[in-house]
Amino acid sequence: MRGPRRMLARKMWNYAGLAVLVTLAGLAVAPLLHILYLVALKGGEAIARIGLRRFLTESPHPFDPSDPGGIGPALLGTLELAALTAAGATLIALPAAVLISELRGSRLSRATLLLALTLVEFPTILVGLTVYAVLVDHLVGRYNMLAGAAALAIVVLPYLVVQASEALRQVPEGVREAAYSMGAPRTTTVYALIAPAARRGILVGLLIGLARAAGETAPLLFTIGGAYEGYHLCLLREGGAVPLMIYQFIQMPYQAARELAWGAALVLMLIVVTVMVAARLIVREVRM
Amino acid sequence: MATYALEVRDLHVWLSGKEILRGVTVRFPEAAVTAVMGPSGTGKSTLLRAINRLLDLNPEARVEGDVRVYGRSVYEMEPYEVRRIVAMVFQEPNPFPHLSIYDNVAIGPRLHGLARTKRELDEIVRWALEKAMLWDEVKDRLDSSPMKLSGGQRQRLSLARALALKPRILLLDEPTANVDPVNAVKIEEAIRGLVREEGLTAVFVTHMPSQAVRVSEYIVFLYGGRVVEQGPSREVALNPRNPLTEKFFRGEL
Repeated sequence: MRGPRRMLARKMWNYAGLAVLVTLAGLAVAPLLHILYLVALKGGEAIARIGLRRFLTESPHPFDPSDPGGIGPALLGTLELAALTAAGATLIALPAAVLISELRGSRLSRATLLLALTLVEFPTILVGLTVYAVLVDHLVGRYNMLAGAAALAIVVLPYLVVQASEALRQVPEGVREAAYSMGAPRTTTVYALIAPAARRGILVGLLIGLARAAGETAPLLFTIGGAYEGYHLCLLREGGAVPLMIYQFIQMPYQAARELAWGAALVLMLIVVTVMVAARLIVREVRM
Repeated sequence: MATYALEVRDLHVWLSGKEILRGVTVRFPEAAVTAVMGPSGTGKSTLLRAINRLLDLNPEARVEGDVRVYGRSVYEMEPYEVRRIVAMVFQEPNPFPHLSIYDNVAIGPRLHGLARTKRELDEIVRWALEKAMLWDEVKDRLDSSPMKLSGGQRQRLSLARALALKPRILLLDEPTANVDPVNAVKIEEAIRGLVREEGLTAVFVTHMPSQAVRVSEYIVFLYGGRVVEQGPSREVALNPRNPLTEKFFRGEL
């Protein structure tokens, strides 16, 4: 009776294999779950004690355990940096992406794509350093928000170029031919018909890029200066941002500062997750 | 003697080094439908794309010879100028998915400033949709997405979009290959009407002999990148002089 026994052995192997897979998958996901759990727990605790509204709007008092304040100015700084980054990166990335996708096969197109792909993995600390040398040290003479936005834009730029050129490339050949057959000059055709047809893909790239920019710390270390007292929107002055605030406050030996850092970490996590989910939803809608 | 809207002179086209058209010379009479026929891979689509210079977009394409639209060489005109006078409908219905039905038709007139007022634009859109025999089906939902239309309706929308450019010549690349018979008849009727009433010149690529006879005054038969036979449709279909043409019409090629 070899048949049934062989069947049993096969089933056993199947279960054993499955068990190994589940264990490995669990090991892979565990650190992520732990981060989510820890940040939610510690951050939630801090925000609950301070009160959500005060935490989101007030300036921080890292030395005052009875009233730690909030992350208001840092949050505004992050939004300000995100808006500037989005504007700056899109303005430069879109023409570059158009060049890559519409001049396909040309040497210029290949070189641009290669450069973008290389820069995607470029160490962000070097970007921060370069921007520091030019914008902070040389031109403005003090830490400033504009330098931070420039550094973030440079970090996001190659990513957005790759994503946008990919989105443009996915415009069906039929739609592309139809666009060109409308008898408009090439630039008009691309910006009026082909780029709008790819707008969702481009938007997704921008959102994911922004989620990344919102969490980047290295390019901000020596560009924006980390000032958290009071609101301002002046681009040529020091300012704050949530990730930089986390980095600075978690190292302080004060209870209030660490509470602020954990609360800020939770806010940052929620921002990034929200943007990512939005991007996912847009992607899903693309498949008509 | 017929006047010619379009002339192709000794046209050679290479795609990725392979010679697709090998010296095509053909004239298309004005205000008539000329069917371009031939087995697949024989260069019919390439011929259309050489006429309106869509081949320019293909970095692997090389063109020699000349194409003249009303006596002017298209290779001495701006490509976009050519494409406004010589509009095109493709094999796949391809409306712009991100634009409404109205905007799909209005985009051409907008790009070329053909309408000075909203009213004029509305009129062009209505005219084009009527000529494409689609107006009655979409007049109540001009703002909705073209992706909600059926395949045949989308193809008629593509035709309307081309017509809104107010072209003199229409290139049709197997426009009924991907639509149902009812829609195919509507498209054929629309094109006959445009030629009769607007004096449009149509170049109608098809591989169906019956369709060619129904829709066209003249037939050009291409084989292996060369013109094998051309003449009035009935003559070519009923008394082909070339054995290849005869074989094709018998369905053996």
